[in-house]
Amino acid sequence: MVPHDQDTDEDLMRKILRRDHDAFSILVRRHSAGFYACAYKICFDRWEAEDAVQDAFIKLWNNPKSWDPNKGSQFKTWFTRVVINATYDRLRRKKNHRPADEAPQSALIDPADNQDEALIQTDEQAALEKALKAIPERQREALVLCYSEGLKNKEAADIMDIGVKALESLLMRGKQSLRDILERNTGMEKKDKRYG
Amino acid sequence: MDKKQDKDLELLLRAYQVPEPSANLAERIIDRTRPDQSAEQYEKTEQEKPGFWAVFIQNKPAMFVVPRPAMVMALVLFASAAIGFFNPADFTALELSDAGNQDLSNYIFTSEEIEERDWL
Repeated sequence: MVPHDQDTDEDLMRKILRRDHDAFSILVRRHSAGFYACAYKICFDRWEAEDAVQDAFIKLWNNPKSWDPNKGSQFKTWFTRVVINATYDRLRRKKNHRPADEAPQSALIDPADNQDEALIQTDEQAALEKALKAIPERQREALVLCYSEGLKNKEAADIMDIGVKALESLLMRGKQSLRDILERNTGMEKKDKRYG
Repeated sequence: MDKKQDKDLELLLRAYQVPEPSANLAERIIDRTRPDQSAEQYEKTEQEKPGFWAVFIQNKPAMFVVPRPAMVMALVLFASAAIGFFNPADFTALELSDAGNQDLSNYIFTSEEIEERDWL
């Protein structure tokens, strides 16, 4: 059966299990940008996020059996976990190996497309990003999954492999930390403007 | 926590935008996994895993390869054992019997050489 754009993710995965590369291509085109956004919100580095998504998809193609259709988990929920893990792996490797000034591999592959600096962020966005970077990893993950990615609490809890109550607690603490940091930074900026 | 502030924060998080990914991200991933590049690897790892007996037969010659000094030592020991087995020289019996001792003494020392007075 020929894979079709209207196939569900799970249908495409079943075809990928039979080594159907066209089905894989549809899945990649459908989700790479979305998973990239999720990875970016964890690592705040465009190149690392792209490489993490690439790693995750290559892993999926090389070992499609890691997705078990009988477990009843949705592809998106399951693969979000895979992408997040790949992102953390890359961050750990980067921390251990890469010198600060070394250009990532993808930057060399695709230099013309570097529009990172062209993105105009509002002050609010920049402050939020700074605050998100400062809060603990698990709190950030919970906030990103529930609010930025718009997942239901149950789905986010499944991805994080915790209970819904634990997720709600993480969300509450995450929001509190975020608000404290944002208020502190805003206060400091006002002070700087007053004396600057 | 103030509900309104809480809502504002959620809205801010929902509105959070990330830089656009490279335009060729999806194509790059697809190219990296093209079947002509990865099929062989997959087939090797997943479908054409050799069975136990195939591995045994393939590695059989390797089991009999002995490093050379060890081979020489093994051959010498084997040859010595074979010679000893087929040509038994009963030295033990010769040494222990009186007759054997006498024969040996006679062979080594002639009667002219050994006089009883020489010992006194």
